[in-house]
Amino acid sequence: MAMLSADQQDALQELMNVAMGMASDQLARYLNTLVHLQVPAIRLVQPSDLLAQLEPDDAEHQRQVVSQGFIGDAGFQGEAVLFYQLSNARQLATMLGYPADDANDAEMLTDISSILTTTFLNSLGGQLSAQLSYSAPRLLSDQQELLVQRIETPGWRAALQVSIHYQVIDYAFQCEMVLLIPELGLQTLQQRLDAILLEY
Amino acid sequence: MSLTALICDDSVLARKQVKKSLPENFAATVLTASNGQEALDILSTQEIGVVFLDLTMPELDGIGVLEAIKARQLKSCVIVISADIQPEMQKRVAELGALAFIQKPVNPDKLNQILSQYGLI
Repeated sequence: MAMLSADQQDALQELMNVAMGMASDQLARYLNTLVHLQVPAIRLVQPSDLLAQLEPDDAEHQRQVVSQGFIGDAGFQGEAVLFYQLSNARQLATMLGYPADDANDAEMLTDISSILTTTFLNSLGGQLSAQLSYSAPRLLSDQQELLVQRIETPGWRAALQVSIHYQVIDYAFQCEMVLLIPELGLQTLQQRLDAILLEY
Repeated sequence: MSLTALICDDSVLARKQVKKSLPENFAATVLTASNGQEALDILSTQEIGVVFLDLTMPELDGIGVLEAIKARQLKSCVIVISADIQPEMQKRVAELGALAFIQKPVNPDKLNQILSQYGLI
């Protein structure tokens, strides 16, 4: 599979940077706090790498995973997976006005995920001139099999993984957003990146 | 005396976008730096009239650069060009002495307007 060239990787990183800025601005407004951003990391991964990341880690009791699929024109598609580290999901849910029970904690996480992924993907899609549509965000503790099945299909033999870190210190809240783009989506992505590179 | 400008961004694409967005009548020698530390090295060896500064960067970020410029009492004008558009972040860069804040991807008209507002063109 064709790897991204250095120019393509640089351009993608910048597009991600802009999309990440939009998403964290929305999150910051929602939580009324400052979100700390880091430069996104991009690498090529195999399905086994992806599945290993989904394995629960005993040291991370508070980890929650939310996944949301996206698809656009010319085969551009992928999956946005959000890994949350919450020292106290209930406390955050209460502060945001959700009644205190487990179902509402889950609803809060899917709401936050929806803000992060749709804002991010709208911006990314806009920059790539790709109209995207989304599936509903789902908490993986309930439906991990769906994501695993998707990742195990042939088109996902290799995927591009983009890791973006959102950190909210005021709420002891951390979120790693992993954007997975399979081979098919990658070709379209590379074409669009080349078009952008030609402009400059 | 001629003006020297510095574009500081870790992305090659972003540096090119800024360079291409500069108005034709912006008569300056344009230097580039790919992170905050490189920018500080340049700032300590020569006089830079205006810095176009990204915020989210490896090594040393834009906030670190603004703090160093303030601490060293350098006269360089700083125009922040960033994707991190959070209101809190915009407030912070203004407090650290940045003249203006431009949202990425940079808009040439906005850049032109700010440069003329501060008498840089």
